[in-house]
Amino acid sequence: MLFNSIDFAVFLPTVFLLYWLLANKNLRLQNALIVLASYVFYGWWDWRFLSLILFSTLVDYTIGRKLKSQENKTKRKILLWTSILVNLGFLGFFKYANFFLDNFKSAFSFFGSEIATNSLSIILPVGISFYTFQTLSYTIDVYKQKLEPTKDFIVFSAFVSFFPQLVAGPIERATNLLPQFYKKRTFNLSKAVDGMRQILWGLFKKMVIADSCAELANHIFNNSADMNGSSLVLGALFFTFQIYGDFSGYSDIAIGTSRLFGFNLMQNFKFPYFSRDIAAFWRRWHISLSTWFRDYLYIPLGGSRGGTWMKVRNTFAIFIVSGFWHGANWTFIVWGTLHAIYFLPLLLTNKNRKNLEIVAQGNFLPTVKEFLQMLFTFTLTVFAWIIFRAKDITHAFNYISGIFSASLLEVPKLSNPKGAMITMLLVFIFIFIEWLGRESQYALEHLGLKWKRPLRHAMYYTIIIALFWFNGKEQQFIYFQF
Amino acid sequence: MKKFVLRILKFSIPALLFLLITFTYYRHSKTKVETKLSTFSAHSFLLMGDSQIQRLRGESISQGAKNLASSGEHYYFTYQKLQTLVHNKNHRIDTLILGVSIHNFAPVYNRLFSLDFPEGEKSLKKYLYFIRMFDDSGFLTTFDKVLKPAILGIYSTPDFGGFYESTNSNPKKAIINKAFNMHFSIKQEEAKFSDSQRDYLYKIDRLCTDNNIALILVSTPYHFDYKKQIDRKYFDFFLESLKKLKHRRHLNFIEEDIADRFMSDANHLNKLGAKKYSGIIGKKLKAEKRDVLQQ
Repeated sequence: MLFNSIDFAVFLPTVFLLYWLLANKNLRLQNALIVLASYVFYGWWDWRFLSLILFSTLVDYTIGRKLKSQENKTKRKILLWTSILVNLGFLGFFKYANFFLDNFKSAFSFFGSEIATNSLSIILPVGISFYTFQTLSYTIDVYKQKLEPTKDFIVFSAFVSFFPQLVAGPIERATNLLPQFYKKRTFNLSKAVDGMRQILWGLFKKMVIADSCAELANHIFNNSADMNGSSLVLGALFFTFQIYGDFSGYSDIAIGTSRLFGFNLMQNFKFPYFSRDIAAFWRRWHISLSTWFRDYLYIPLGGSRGGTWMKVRNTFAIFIVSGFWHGANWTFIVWGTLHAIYFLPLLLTNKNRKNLEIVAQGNFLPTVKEFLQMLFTFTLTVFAWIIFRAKDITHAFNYISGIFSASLLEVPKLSNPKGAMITMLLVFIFIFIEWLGRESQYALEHLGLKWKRPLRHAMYYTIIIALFWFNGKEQQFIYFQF
Repeated sequence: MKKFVLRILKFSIPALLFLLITFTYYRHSKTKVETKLSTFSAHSFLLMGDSQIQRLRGESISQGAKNLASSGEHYYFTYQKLQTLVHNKNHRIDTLILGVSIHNFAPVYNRLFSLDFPEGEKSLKKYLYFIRMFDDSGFLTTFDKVLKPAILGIYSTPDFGGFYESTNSNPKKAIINKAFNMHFSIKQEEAKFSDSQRDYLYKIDRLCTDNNIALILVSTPYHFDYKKQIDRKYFDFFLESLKKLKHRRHLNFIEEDIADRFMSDANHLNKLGAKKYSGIIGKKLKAEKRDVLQQ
């Protein structure tokens, strides 16, 4: 079920009313309702996926319980590795089996021997990378005794399948989300209103910004061989805003929806395109994944302790794995590696924790230096997105070569110039609103709160009208495929 | 909780009011449109179809003939218009000329019949008042796709169609190629042929049979440079589709070699061409009528 669909527009109020009216005074009933709603939400794509999530839930619940009673270190390790192998095994099979098969085949043919393999016909279950990482965090935290394993199977099922963030995050830590299922939840008006505001802003990002940019970006990327340099630059920019609008829009809707049910999810994006260096960008982009890798991969590998070589190795490891997490394609691996290369100078000069504060905090405009830093970081990011979006490495190489050609100074060739102009205008308005709200959790959080109600409502209505008027052709959320 | 629901309801009042006003306006305009459309049923001779037929002079074909063809009109809308016309018990329609050409089965007509494309949204905006809200056509899909073009359509003037005269002549190659690409280029995973056009063509045929209307199919000429680019498969699909309508008179001018001065662009006659071919069609029909009477 997509957040920007009629199905969800019916589903959400129904679950909301049942949750607060029928199950209001009974925590167990509320949790059970969440599980039921989440399974309906997930099964809406394909009911067969449910068996996978149920199995994953059963495995990690059981292992969690066993870890509690087991004191033998070796046996505890075996339990941990069972969970890791089961979860990553599923992920590996569904997401990467064909990638490895194809690459083995290519490697063999490179050395002159042909092997016959057939690609497997596998459907990638929606959001598998997200809930797999979430359940893994639980088992690892229980293993490390940072968290008490839950006895309540319903609570654990609700934690694994919580529908607002099930298919595209934020990837919640058990230490943050699980305890919330134990606490009595009472309806909080301001929290619910705030949730609605965040949902509205998320829908705007997705339906207006991401989907409009997607149509143009898709056209340019799919026909990149026929495009001049300036059009290719526009294509990369459109994709840059598509992926941000799409993914952060989803996170906003997820966080807002959770607030309607009395839950607090972690902030997943902190205005990443206003970052002044790549390190800051990664502290602000897909925070739940970056911190997951930091806590469960980078630190166990040694983190920034040890010598320079160790630091470099760990940095490359985390970025490459992060790239590969996005999908079974070399483009993602190269994208991750490129970001590691961007990051390296900052790490080696100990400047990776320099720009921690919000840019131009308390000021309306940034300084020239800040502006140039943001522009530079943004350019690096856009360049990397080209590789991320390309079909394969050859496509990415040709696309980039096309940019750095004489045609860069030509007028862009667009199939729908009027549509492109409108989209650009919308993106400018979007950047402006994001800039105004950069000190908040999301751009709309405090915008207009001090205005008189009619004016504030007029602003919300403008956004709602924009949702219908300027929405692009409905696109699947990009991160669902990850 | 109650406060929250009340707040949502209060916030929704302007939207609900707008929808109420729009719906009332729609009902009012729909009655007006249907009344106006049914006045055309007083004509015994009608011309319908897309922009090709729009160029024909009704008066030159038959006295009192009314041209209701409209640019880019999918047969679904022609069918809906015709239904409204024959719904009038006192209708006098006895003959209908319907444009039918190769490009009518081209991919562009799939787009004109799908709200996934801007062409389809335009169709809904133009013909909203002629269609029934709940039918099994599959044109009106989800609420979010329908809402914007429907609201635009409610507050726009509906396209009743009508005669259109063009003074252009000797079209340039670029214009011809542009039209060809518009009609025949396939976007993404589109179907190659428009099956929905064929389905509604047959529905129009049945509607005419049920209402004793003589249906005459007319294919006006194409510019040579346009025609030569069309894939043979489209010719075959066109002829195959018409096999089921063998019982209908078909005046086919597609194969004719026509001088550039008669064409305004790739597939449309200009003023001169319209005069010539309307005259030819008129004469043919009169001669046939005479023959029938003599027999």
